[in-house]
Amino acid sequence: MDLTSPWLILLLPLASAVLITLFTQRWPRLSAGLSIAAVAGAFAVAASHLGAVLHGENVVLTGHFTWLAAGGHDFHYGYLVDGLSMVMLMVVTGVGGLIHVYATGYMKDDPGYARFFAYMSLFMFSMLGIVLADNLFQIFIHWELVGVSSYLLIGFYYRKDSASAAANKAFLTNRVGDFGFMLGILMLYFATRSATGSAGAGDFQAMAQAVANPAWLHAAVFSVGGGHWTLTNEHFLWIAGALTFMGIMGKSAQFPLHVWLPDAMEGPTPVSALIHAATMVAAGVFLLGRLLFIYMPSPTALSIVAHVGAFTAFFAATIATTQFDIKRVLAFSTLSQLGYMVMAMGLRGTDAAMFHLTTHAFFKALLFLGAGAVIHAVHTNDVREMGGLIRKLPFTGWMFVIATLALCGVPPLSGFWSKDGILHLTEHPPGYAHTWIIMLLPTITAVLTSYYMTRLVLLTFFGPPRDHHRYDHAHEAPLNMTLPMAVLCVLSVIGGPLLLGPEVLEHFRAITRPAGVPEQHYVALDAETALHALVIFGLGAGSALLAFGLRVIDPDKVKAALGPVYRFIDNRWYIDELYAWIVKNVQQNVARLCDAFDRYVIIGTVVNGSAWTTRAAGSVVARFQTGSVRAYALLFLAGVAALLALNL
Amino acid sequence: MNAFLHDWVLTLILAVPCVAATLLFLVPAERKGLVRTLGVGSALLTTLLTAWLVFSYDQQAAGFQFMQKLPWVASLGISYQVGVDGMSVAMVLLTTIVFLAGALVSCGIQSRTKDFYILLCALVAGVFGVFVSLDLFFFYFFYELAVVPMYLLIGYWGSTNREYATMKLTLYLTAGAVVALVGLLLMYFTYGHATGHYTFDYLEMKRWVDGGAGFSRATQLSLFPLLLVGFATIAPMWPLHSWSPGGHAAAPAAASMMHAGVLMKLGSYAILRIALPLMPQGAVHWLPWVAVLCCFNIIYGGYVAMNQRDMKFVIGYSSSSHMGYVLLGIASVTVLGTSGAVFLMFAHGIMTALAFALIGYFYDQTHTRMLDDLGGLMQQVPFVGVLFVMMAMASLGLPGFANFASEMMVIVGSWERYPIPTILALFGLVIGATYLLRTVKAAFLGPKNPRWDGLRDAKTPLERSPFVLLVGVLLVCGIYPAPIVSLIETGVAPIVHTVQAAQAAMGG
Repeated sequence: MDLTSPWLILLLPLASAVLITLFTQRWPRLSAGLSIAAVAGAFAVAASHLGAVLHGENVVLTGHFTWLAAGGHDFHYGYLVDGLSMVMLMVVTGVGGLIHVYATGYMKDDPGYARFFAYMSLFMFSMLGIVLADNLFQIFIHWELVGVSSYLLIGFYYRKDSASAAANKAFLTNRVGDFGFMLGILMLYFATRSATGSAGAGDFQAMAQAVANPAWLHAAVFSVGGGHWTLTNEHFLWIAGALTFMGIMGKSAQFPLHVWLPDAMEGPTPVSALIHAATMVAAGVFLLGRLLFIYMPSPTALSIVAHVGAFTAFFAATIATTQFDIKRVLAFSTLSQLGYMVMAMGLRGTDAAMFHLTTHAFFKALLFLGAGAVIHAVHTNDVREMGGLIRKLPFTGWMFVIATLALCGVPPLSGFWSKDGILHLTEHPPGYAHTWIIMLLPTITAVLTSYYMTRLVLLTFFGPPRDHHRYDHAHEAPLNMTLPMAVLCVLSVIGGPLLLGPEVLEHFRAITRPAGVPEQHYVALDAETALHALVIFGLGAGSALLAFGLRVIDPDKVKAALGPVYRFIDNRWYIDELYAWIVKNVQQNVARLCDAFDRYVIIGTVVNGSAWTTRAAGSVVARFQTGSVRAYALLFLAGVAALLALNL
Repeated sequence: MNAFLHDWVLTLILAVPCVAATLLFLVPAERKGLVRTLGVGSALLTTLLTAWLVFSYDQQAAGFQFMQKLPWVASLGISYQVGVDGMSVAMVLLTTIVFLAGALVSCGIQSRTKDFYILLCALVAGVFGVFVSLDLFFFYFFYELAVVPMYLLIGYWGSTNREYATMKLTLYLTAGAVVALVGLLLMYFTYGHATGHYTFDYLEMKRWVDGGAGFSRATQLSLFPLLLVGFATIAPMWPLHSWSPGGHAAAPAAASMMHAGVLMKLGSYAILRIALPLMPQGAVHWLPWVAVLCCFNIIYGGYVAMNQRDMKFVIGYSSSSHMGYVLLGIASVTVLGTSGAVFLMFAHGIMTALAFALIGYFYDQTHTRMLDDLGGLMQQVPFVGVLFVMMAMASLGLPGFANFASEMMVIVGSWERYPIPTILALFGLVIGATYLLRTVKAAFLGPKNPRWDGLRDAKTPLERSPFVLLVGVLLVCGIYPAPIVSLIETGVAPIVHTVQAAQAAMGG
C-alpha cells in the first residue's frame, strides 16, 4: 500500500480506536502508545503532501469510492487534499499529537486511561474525516461522528451526573443545528444536482463549478422540495446558506447555539484543549471556508454570518469577565475567538479566519494545557482558591502568561498577526456588513479579552495564595505534560511571519483563499499598527491590573455599582435559563399532551370504547340465545313470514 | 447439491423451524438442554441456508429467483409457490438474524422452556412464509400463523398488564388481517371475473397488471385502502398503533424481539409486495395520505416516547416513530426513498431486537424497567451498558450504524416529493435523540445505585453472542451499506417504476 495515501490519515486513528476498544483495554500504556502512534502516523502522511501545497498546487489529491448508491444518487466517500484542508490537517494532527502526549501525564492514574485514548482516536478519525471530506454528505457523517466523540469525552466521568448532563446538552444542541444543516444540504444538493449531472452527491468541486456557472447562479427561480416551493435566486442562496450555517453555529458554538460549550468543560482538560478549543469547534469555521462559494454570491448570507460571529465574540467576552472557573473563562474566550473567525468568514476573509484558527489552536491549546497543569496541581477549578501559583508552578505560569499575551494580540506574538488581520477587515467592512455591530463590537471585544485574560492570570498566578492548603501541595507537572506545552509555546510566539517569513505567510493566505474572493490588505508590523494593538491591550490589561493586581479599585464595589447589569452578565444573559424554561414548559408539555391523548383518547375512548361496544352488542345479541327451542321456532317463523312478505 | 438447493432452499428455510417445532413436541419438557440445543440448532441451520441464499441471489438478473411451485387446491387456484427478490432476501436475512439472536437470548428462560421454543419456531416459520410466498392464499395463511403464537407468548410469559396487552394485540392484528383478507378476496374475485381464471397466484396477477390490463381505476381506488389499512395496522400506522407499545412491554424478551424486529415489518412488506405493484393507481391516489399520517407516527410517537418512564414503552413508542420513516419512504415512491424504507425495516428490526434483548437481560434481574428506579447501571453491568449506548446511538441515527444510512436515504428520497413531511421527519431526529439520550442517562449513567450491586453482567461468550451479533450486523451494514442497498434496490426498483408509470399515466 502507498504509504502516503490520504486514506491512511483516516485509517490509522480508526484502527487505533478499534484495537484499543477490542483488545488492549487491559494495557493502558500500550493503548496510549497506539493512539499516539496513530496521530503521529497521520501527521507524517499529511506532511508528506505539504510540499505540493507549498509549491502552489491548488488541489493536490482526490480519490473516492461509492459508499451507497440507489436510484441515480451516488453517495461518495472520498478525500480532497487542497490548501484549506492541508492547513487543518497540520493543525489537527500536530496540535492533536501534542495533546495526546500531554494526556499521558494528565490522565495517569485514571481508571479509564485506555478508554480515554480509544475515544481520542475515535475523535481524531471523525475530525480528520471532516477535513478530508470531498462532499457534503460525508462532512455530515463525520460532523455527527465528532458530535458523538465529543459526547463520549464530555461524559467521560460518567459517574458524575453533571458530566452526563453536559454531554446530553452538547449532543442535543448540535442536533438542533444539524436539523438546519441537513435541510441546507438537501436544498444545495438538489439545486446543483441537475446542473452537475449525477456525479457524486454533494461533491464540493462539482458544486463549486455549478455555482460558478452564471446560468445557474442567475437562474430566475429555484425550485425547492421538488417544485413545492419556488424561490428567487437571492432568497434561495441566503436561505440555503443560513440553514447550512445552523450546523456551523452548533459545532462552532455560535450564539444562540453556544450553550453547550461552557458546560462541555466537564470533560477531562486535554479534551477541552483538543476538541473544545483547538480543533472540533473550529470545524465550523473550516466548513464555512469550504462552502464560501455558496455564501459569496449572497450578501445577505454573508451578512448573517458576519453578524452572528461579531455578536458571539462580544457576548462571550462579556461573560468571560465574570467567571471564576478557570476552564469556563477559557471556554467563553474560545466562544469569543470563534466568533472572530466566523465573522471574518462573513467578511470574506477566509485566509484571515484560517490564519486565526491556526494561531488560536496553538495558544488556546496551551492555555488549556496550562490550566490543566494548574488543576492537576491544586485539584480545583476555582480561581478564588488559587493565587500566587507562579512561585510554585513557574514553568506553567510563564507559559500561561505568554499564551495570554498571544491571545490578547500583543505584538509580535502570533495572535497579533492573526487577530489584527481580522480587526483590519472590520475597519472597512463590505457594504452588506456596514453596521456598528461589525465596526464597533470586535474592537470592544479585544479590550474585554485583554481584561478577562489579565484578570485570570492575576487571580491564578499572582497575589497572595488564598487557599494555603492547596497552595502548599501544588507541584509542577511532569515532563510529558510540560514538553508539549513548551512546543505549543514556541508556536504561539513565532506562529506568525516570524516562523514562516512574509512570503510563506502570503502564500498561506493565498491557498486558503477560494477563487473569487477579493484579496485583502494585510497587517504589516509598523509603528502605527503595533501601537494600536498595544493601546487595546493596555486598556483591558490596565483595568484588570488596577482591580486585581494593584487593588486600587475594589472589584466588589464595581460589582455592586453595576447591580443588575452584572447579574445579567454573570448569569450568561439568562440564555441557559430561557432554554431550560422552553424545554420544561413547552417541550415537556407537548410530550405530556401527546401522551395524554394516547392514553385517554386513542386507548381510552377509541380502543377500549370499541371493545366496550363489542361487549355491549354481544350482550344484547346474547339475549336471543335463550336456548329455548320454542323461541327459536317462533323467530324462525317470523323470519320466514317476513321474507315471504317481502318477496310477494 | 447446488441445483438441489436452488430449487429447495426457500422450502428448506421454511421447513427448518417447522421441523424443529415438531421435534420439540416429542422431546420431554425436563430436558431443557436438549430443547435449547434444538432451538438454537434450528436457528443456526436457518442461518446457513440464508447465508447461501444471500450470496447466491443473482443481482444482475434481479427479479424473483429460487422459485418453486406445487399445486395445492387446483380448483380454487391455490398453489404453494415461493420465490424471492432482493427485497424479500433482505427480509429473510433480517428474520434469520433476529431468530438466531432470539433463540440465544431465550436460553435464559426457565419456565416451560419447551413450549416457548415451539411457539418461537412457529412464529418464525410464519414470518418466513410471508416473506417468501408468491401465492396470496399462502401469504395470508402465513401472516395469520405469525400472529397467533404471539398471543400465547405474551399471555403466558409476559409481564406488565399482559392479559390486556395480548388481547388487544391479537384483536387488533386479527381485525387488520380480516380487512386485508376482504381486500385480497375481492382482488381474487375481480381478477377471476375479468380473466375467467380464478387464481391466488401473485405472479400471474402481476403479469396481468404489468401487461397493461389490470384492475380498473375504480376497483383500485376502493380496494387499495382495504389492503393499506389492513396491513398498516401491523406496520403500525398512526392511529392504529395502540396495540404495539403495550404489546412490546408485556412480551418476554425474545417475543418482543421477534415482534418489534420482524412482525411489525410484515405490514410494510405486504403493502410493498401486494398493494403497490398490483394497484399502482390506487397507490398514487392514497399514498399522499400515508405521507400525512406518517408524520403523526414520527412526531407524535416521538413525543409520547419522551413522556414514558418504562423503558420498554420508550422503545415501543420509538418503534412506532421509526416506522413513520418507513412509511414516508414507501409513500415517496422513489427508488432511493423506498429502498431506504426497506433498508430501514432491516436496520430497525436489528436495532430494536437488540434493545429488547438488552432490556430483557437486566429486567430478568431487576424486575423493574422504570427509569426512576434505575441509574448508574453502567458500573454494575458495563457490557450491557455499552451495548445499550450503542443501540441508542444506532436508534438516534448515528452514522456508522445502518439506521443512519437508511434514514438518510428516506429523507433524501422523500424531499422532492413530500418536503413538509421530510422536514418533520428531520425534526423527528431531534426528538429521537432527546428521549434516547435521556433514557441512557437515567438508566446507565450517573452515580452508582447500591440497590443494583448484585446484578450480573453478560460475561460468557454464549451470553454475549446475541448482542454482539446484532450490533455487528448494524455496524457492518452501516459502515459500508452499498452491498445490501444494491440488493434491496433490485427488488424495490421494479415496484417503484410500476407506480411511477401509473402516476405518469394519471398525469400526476
